[in-house]
Amino acid sequence: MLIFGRQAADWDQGTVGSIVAELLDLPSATVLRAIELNGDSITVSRVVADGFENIELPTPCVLTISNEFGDPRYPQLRQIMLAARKQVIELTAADLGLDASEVGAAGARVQMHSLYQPTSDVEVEIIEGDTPEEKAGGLIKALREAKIL
Amino acid sequence: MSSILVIGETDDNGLTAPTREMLGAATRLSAELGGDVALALIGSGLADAAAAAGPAGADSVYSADADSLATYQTDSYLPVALGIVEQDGPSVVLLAQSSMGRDLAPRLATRLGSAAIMDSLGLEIDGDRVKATRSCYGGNARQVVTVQTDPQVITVRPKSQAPLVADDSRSAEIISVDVAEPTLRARTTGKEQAETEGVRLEDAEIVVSGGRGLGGPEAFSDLERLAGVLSAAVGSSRAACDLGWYPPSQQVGLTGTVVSPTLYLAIAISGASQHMAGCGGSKNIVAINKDPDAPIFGFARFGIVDDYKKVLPAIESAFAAALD
Repeated sequence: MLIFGRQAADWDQGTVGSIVAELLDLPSATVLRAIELNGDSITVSRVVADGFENIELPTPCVLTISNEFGDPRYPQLRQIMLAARKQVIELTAADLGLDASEVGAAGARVQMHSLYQPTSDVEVEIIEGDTPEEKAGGLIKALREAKIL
Repeated sequence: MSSILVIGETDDNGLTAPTREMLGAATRLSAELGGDVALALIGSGLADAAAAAGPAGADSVYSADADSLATYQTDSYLPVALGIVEQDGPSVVLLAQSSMGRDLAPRLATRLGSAAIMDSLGLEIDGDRVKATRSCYGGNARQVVTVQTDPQVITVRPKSQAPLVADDSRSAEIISVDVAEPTLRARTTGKEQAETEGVRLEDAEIVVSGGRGLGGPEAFSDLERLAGVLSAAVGSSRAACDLGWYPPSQQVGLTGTVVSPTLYLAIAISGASQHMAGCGGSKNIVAINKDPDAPIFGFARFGIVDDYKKVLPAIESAFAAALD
């Protein structure tokens, strides 16, 4: 099983797992909340707009995990100490047989033209009132005047 | 051959709203880009939806209609979508940012030797490229990007584009696509339908949403009652879903559903960027929060600074009286 997160915290694209699956010609299932092993096959639960789909797939396969999967376990001190002794394998593009022109910005098929912080042009109008009823009435009136209601 | 191919979706009502929105966007973009707009429909029982495509903006419709395509499965849809793209040869392929689109688009783009831009909010033509504006960094930033290879595969966020007013005098040529029996590696064996009553979150004109500040799952029944008065859908922040207070299917946010209703009532929601990525496109946000410094007030048009427990019953009766 090749397990990926559903999307990275920078670009929020959510495509790496599927791209790897396609490049390796492997079956995939994305945005999962559960994985179960049964013998040679895997049953997963995929989060979709109106519920969950059960999907059965063989190994090897690519899976992407959503936040519904659950909380990560928190390591204890001993485990943190042990982690320091785990071997970290560092790979360069050359180790993977890739040319510099195929990786990073040079190899990207998507080009970024700008990156900015959106500004909210909304000025909030706080509905005042001495009682909950006054505030509720004020809100209805404001929504009516703004033709939202 | 078209300039823009929309890979659409259907439901019991025919073409889905995001499909109509993409046809609207494709019509607008193709006016600058030149060329036609084609729609690809993959599914079963597509005749009515295919007939609605012309009035919604398509010049031609590829219809891949087979029992084996009744539900979306990566392994059955991908070869069909690939075949249609290769037959049509578009320079731009649009899909909805939906359960199907987010699964299909990256695989399709990679198979075509190109790349996908996901969840675009804005689309503009720049030469022969489509410049897409999209949200990133958990909703905190925007980027403008183009796909440099062809075809340019782009998924479109629901409600970010305007559909056309249906023009019944228009019709689209329907091209029937032969479907081979699919070879399934991953196989969908069943579905658990989320228990959603009333209005669907993504379709709702009004959404009533609650967050961690509600203090417990019981308060969601108060929200459901208010939603009933307003014919609204009920949403939840991720924090409240993760606490098990409300089903994940109702989560509004970066990793949940993205909604853009006319009115979004945020009740006891702080307004974290994770959440705002899901509701920031709402036309009007009303925030109720006892913390006057809650970030949600920075996005809201109207706000009430108070304990929701005190004001919610009054708001429910006021709405009931106003809408009576």
